[in-house]
Amino acid sequence: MKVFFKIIKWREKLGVLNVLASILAVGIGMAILVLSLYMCQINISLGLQTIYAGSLGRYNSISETLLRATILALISYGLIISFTAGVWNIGAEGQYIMGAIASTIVCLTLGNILGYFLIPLAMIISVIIGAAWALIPGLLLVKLNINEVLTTLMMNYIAQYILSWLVTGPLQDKTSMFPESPYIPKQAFLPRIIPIYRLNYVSLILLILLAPLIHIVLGKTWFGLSLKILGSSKRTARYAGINVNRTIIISIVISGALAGLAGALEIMGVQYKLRPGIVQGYGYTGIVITLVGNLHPYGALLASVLMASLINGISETCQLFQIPIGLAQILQGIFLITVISLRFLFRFLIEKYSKVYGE
Amino acid sequence: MSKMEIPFLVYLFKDAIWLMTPLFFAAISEMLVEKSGVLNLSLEGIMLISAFTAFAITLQFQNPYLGFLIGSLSGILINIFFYVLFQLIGISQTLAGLSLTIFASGLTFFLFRMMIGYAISPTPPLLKNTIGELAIPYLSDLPFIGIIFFRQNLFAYLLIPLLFFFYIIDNSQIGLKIKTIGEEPAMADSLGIDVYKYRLILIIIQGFLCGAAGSILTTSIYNTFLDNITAGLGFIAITMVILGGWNPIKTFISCFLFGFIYALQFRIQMLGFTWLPYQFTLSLPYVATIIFLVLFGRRYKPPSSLGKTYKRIK
Repeated sequence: MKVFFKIIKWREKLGVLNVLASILAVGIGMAILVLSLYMCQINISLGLQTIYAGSLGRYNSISETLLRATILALISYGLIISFTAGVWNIGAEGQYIMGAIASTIVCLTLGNILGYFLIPLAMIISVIIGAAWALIPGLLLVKLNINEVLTTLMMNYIAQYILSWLVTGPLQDKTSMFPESPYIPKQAFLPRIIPIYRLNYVSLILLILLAPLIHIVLGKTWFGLSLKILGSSKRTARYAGINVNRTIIISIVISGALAGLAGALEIMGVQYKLRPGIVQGYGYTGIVITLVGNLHPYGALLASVLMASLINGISETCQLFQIPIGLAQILQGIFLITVISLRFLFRFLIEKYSKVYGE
Repeated sequence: MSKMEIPFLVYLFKDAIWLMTPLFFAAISEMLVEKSGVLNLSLEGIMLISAFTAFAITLQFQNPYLGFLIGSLSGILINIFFYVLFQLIGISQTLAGLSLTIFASGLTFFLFRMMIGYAISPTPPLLKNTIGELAIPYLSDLPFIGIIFFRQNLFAYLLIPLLFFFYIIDNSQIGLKIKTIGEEPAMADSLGIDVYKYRLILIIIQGFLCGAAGSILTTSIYNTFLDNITAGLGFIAITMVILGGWNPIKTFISCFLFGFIYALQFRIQMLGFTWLPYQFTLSLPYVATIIFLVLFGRRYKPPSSLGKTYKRIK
């Protein structure tokens, strides 16, 4: 009996250890960041100061970081839901692009008719389009049992080419020499909190409100529980009377919808026009954030703010010191590898240790 | 047919065979690994890293063969890392493969800029020495057939021996053991087949062949390196295995089909279809992948324990 309680205790600590794994991974990533600054022959304290200034040190950079964090957080909230259900949706990139395209088209065609209804309508349409883009792989997975990793990835590339076609063809601004659409009308700009900075109310509200909402959905509702059961075992889910196919479809559609919304925010809150530069690998960064955030909305919130600050800060440092801009990309790879390795290493050690106690 | 049309078709077939080489190298190795029950989604990452390694070595030493060799060996290294992740640490194979791919794309993105210079969008240097065509004497003078089959890239000549090799393995006793591992690892283990050893050996072979596929991209097809140069080729190779129903010959045929699609994509722009946006031809392989998966993806049953890591219960 005593042994049994000991094992339970260790299992409870597993949650804490997962958080520890995330923190350790971030720490290792930071150490590598410092190391690469050293290797690029930059004064380390100066380099770190520039990263801080570029991410959270000035009002403008705070606004930019929070904007980017919102987009990353929205994508990763969606991925939390689909990953919890064990659906490997790596197509957030494509769903985000389709959302951005949809909101641009709505803003450009209906911009002068709708007035105040424009912003909500554009958002709703981009949510629907993002969800529809995710629905296709979901249906293929459920009906034909086709691996969702392959289909979502292929659809990322298709979305990218659709974007590239639109900005060089039908949507291109005739007066511009770059492949980009005209600016969306002024009334479609999301209302800013401080007029000179781009941070807007919608982004901030979504960033703050969605995390608790997702937390409640995952932790307190039947839907959240069924996602978790499905993620741990399909067979168990069937025995528990969960409609497996419907749950899979709903989870991937929600993640697509949130990615589509992120695309709308990028257009109406950051870029104000459609251009190829909106494709920044957010879908893949979202995967990293979701896993570093331990499949937990608050973790994802923290991780997305961290990742956004790193991207902004490092890009400023790179421009200032003339070092390669790929530092943020390599860091996110290192975060990912270390966090999953550490987490599973901890679990392995725990199981070994508890077995020693158990025998 | 007029005189213009025949060379076009001939060159289309020639390109199809040439462009299917990296796809087939990756697909045939993935086939055997999947038969042993391991779903390796890190193909894309392996190809990306080895493509970069081959490019860097070739640029440094001006020797594409050395670049090819080191690039292929680097594939082994990454794939052993994949093995460690899923077998020793116990991460799910899907997750391990995807994270390695994301890691690889970040790593090559950074190292490429480190090497080329500190510009925001670097212009990559073209490799001067590449692995080019090898015309077989006498046979290459044959009309049409000579151009298609005997004036090929060096690696294209390896296609048939490789297919032969894998066909033999697949139909031998070793192949039977591999199939047993993929269907019932516990049973295979109790029959005395070393599941871990077989999987590790297959992973090493796959690492080499995938590395070769990635190195072919930079040393012989594109002759340079770009960010995300593989562009989903690793995942398309996995699709080829599904379409080919885990059968070497059918995998070969589906690879040829996709080689043909790639060749079409290259050649269609030369025909001067200005009304067709180039993005449509570029997205052709991805659209075709989904369509073919929908049409033929369910015809064959995958190995029963595909994607499940085997752990002996003590």
